[in-house]
Amino acid sequence: MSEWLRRIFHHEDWLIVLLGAAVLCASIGMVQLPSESGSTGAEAGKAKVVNLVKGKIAKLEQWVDNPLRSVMSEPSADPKQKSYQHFPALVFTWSLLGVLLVPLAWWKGVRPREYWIGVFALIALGTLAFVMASQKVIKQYNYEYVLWALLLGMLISNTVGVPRVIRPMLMGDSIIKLGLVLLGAEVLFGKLVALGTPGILTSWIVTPVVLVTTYWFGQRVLKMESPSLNMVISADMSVCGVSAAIATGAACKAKREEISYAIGISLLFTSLMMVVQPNFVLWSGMDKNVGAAWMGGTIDSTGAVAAAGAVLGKEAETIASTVKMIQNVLIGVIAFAVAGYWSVRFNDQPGTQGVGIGEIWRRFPKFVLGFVAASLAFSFLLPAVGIPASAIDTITKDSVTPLRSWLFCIAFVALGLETNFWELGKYLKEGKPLALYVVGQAWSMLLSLLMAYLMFGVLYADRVKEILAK
Amino acid sequence: MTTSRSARWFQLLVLGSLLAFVWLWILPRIASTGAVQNHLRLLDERNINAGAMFYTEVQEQR
Repeated sequence: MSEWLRRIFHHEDWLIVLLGAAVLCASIGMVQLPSESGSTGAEAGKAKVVNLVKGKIAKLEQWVDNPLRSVMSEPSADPKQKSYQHFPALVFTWSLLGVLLVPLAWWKGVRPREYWIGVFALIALGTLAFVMASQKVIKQYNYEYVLWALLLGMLISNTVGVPRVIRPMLMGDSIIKLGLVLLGAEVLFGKLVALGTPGILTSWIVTPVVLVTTYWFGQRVLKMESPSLNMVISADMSVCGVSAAIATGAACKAKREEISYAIGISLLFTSLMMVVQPNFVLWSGMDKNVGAAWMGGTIDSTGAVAAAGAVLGKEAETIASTVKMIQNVLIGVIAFAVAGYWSVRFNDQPGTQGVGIGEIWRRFPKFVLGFVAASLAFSFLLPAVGIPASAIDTITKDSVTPLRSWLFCIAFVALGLETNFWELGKYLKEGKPLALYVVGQAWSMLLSLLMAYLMFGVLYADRVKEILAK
Repeated sequence: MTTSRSARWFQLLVLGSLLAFVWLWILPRIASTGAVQNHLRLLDERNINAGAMFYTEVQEQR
């Protein structure tokens, strides 16, 4: 089976793109659109899009002192409300993950025994990581599940070690690529118009400028040894934190330790900034709309932006979240550009000199094409063939997003199981990556504040208020 | 320097217990302090997922 699959898919990325496309097509197929002929008048107005997968992919509940609450509801007086109602969704999700990993395991020639034990270990640790991330205080400070997935993996690999039978299933890089193809479907270009010109200008001018200048600073001034670490830190700091680190890390083939380090540093600063920045806005008397746009452009992580915006009020939360969402959409363009730049600029095969079209194509990470194709299909193709926005909304948010989260979670468990703690320590000792992050973030804060003031405080202040009033 | 098998299992047990202590004892106590409770209530009221990685996970954008 392995040889057969390898003959068809010379490059693993093509198998991943096909697998991602199959998942996305199945997600579309699971949505029932309201029939135009079957209902009329008021009935037609009430007709809703039905997603058969909604609620089937497990999302763990938040808990305070009892971790079982993440998978079991409080006992209820209603006999229909079972406390173990989340269990079917968990079993469905685990089974789905197991099925999705079968083609990848076949391609890599993993034996059945290794597959079963490896999948069980990844899913068990992944579920535990989600339970840890669902603790309310942890969630409040935006310490996302990927951090706990990495930590659990590293805890095992750096103490008792990883059993030999599990090692063939440690295919974190491949699972991340599959998750990224699904993430492509969440990158909807239609979202760009949400705040109009001020939102686009704030997010789409500052972000690339900060990314390019920070990367340049890392290479030319700090003289960082690893360009890929430089790029991953520059991207997670300037675009959208963990998701950008994962996407650019895969696009520039960064080492797993580099992605882990960039994620760690980003989450640490995010938890600080989401507390300090809104309080600074309040203390300084800054216009709240300007402050919200500033936070949306600078705080790395999306959830943290919403939480920080909420401190300033409902309108500020909307502005901050929307600026961040527009910035999120940039992740597709950045990942494609980084993959292209790396294919031209960096050679992974010693002795190969030319960089003709053929060579660039050979080096280009093919999964990025799946990522971009998914984004274009969900942004333009599906609306063009008459699939309504509400259907695209439920496909992405109720099917694709939860499945992608589980894929990232088990992928980071696998990366953690392959990560040597002392390799991470090397980056801590050097100090340059930390300096890069701090200087880049300071630069980002300065430029974002300037642009937020111009757009939300001067040029489009009235227009923004009009949009919010609607 | 090599560490014996039993020492490595002991390390796992200690670190695992430490994590359990933080999650089951320290974090619930932090959650019960006034300032944190207020902030958690605000997030609950606004239906905000502060741990969201991408905008599709933020309720505000739904």
